[in-house]
Amino acid sequence: MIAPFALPFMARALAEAVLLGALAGVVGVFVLLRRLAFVAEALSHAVFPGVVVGYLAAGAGGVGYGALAAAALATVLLTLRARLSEDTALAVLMGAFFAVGVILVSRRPSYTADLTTFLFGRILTVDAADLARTAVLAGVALGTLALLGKELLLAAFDRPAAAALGYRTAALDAVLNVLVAVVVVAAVQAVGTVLSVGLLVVPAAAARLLTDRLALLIAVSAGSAALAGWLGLALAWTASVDHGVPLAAGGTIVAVLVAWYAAARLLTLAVR
Amino acid sequence: MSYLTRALLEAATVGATCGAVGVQVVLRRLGFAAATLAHATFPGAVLAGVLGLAVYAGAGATAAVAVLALALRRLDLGVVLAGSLALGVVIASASTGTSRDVAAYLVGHLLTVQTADLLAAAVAAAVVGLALTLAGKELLLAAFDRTALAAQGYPVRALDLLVLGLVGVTVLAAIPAVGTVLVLALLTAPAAAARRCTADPARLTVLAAAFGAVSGVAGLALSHRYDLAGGPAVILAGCALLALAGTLTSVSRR
Repeated sequence: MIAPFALPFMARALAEAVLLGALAGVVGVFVLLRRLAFVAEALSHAVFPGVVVGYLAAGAGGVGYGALAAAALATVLLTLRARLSEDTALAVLMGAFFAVGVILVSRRPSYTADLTTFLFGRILTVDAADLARTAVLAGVALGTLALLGKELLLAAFDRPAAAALGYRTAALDAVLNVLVAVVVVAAVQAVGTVLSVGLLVVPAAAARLLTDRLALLIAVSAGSAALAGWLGLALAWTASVDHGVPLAAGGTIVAVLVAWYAAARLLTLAVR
Repeated sequence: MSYLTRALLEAATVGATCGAVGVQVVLRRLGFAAATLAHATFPGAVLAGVLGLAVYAGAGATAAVAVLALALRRLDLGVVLAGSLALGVVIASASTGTSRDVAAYLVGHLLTVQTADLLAAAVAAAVVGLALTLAGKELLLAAFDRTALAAQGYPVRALDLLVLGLVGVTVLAAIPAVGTVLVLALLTAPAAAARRCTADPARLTVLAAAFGAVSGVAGLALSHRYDLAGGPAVILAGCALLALAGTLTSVSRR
């Protein structure tokens, strides 16, 4: 379970997976408490055209910036959603953005291969620059949470109280949406647009089954997500190299997390 | 039948079905549940493709499991959604040479739909049409005022299950036309546009179905004229319709 990571590309993949897992695990707790899972899902699809444009304009290095621009545009449009319910606005936005991305990518000769790469990521080919970008995004996100975590929690549990204390709850909502977008952008290259939602949603949901205490919730969520990054990569490697079954690394990481959630769910059902 | 005729019939049928069921999705705010059901079809479709079974059988089986999981409310929606995706991706990656199929499941292949797909779309349209004709009034009342319906002795939980089942059937039939990701916009945009244009609940479903069919046909025309991918063009037509309805109604109310 350790030997594969002696290879440089596997070591980089491991660093990326652990970093992303810890980041998404922490932000995921806030996603869970504010019920933003659908926002995370919609944003993960909405960044897709940005990923494609970034890639067409500047190659692999442009993907992150394109995703960031698309996430920003989607977040702005979401706040201007007129009289649509948030649920409907998210569904429409997600479909429209994704459709634009597919139309752009369908113009390329290597259409289906490109599409699946964008959707499912390529964690085994992250380079030092990708890692540095992820580390910066993680620093920004975790720094923001360290500064505003208490206010965000107050708004999550008791919105009227937060408003009565003079906090601007709409601004706090916007901060959290931006944080979700940051995690999605960081995760896009590694696990692809469709699996990034898994990192944001599953570890926090599993941790919530096991504990009510916030500090423990954050620790279990981040720890299990980072651990799943290592376990998923090791599993994918073993299956591919030792058993000739090529497993997608990103998908395997999320599958490990889902198995962990299932175990936690069974445990809570058995205890009750 | 030429490929274009098949695509036209498919787009119109799927569009109308999505529009009609979409009224329930929009009124009950089932967007996330619909997204979960749509993604839940993905691993089943991939597995059926790998095993050489009918795609509808595999996708239908996993969607049915998801409908039950949603109805029982014992699992987090987001986990079902992410887990379905991960499972589908892992299965697809383990069997080489399926990347074209995976792309087709996710974004559809409107221009190459087969007669069997048309048949499936027609069956789904008939099922949805029948259910909405028989129980439409109760379903609308449940969407607007659950308490009133429960007080009159209607089985509210059974109606919830019926709605989820109808969404599942619709998503399943829509996969060849628009795929599992884009279907969500077709389930919401035409219905939301109809909601803007009429406050009359009796007309709402018919208008939404008409808007859905128009989105399908207009999208196909755009796709044909400008050489765009078929499914995404239908989705963009539906979203344009919503934007148009929103603009026109807010102008006329001023």
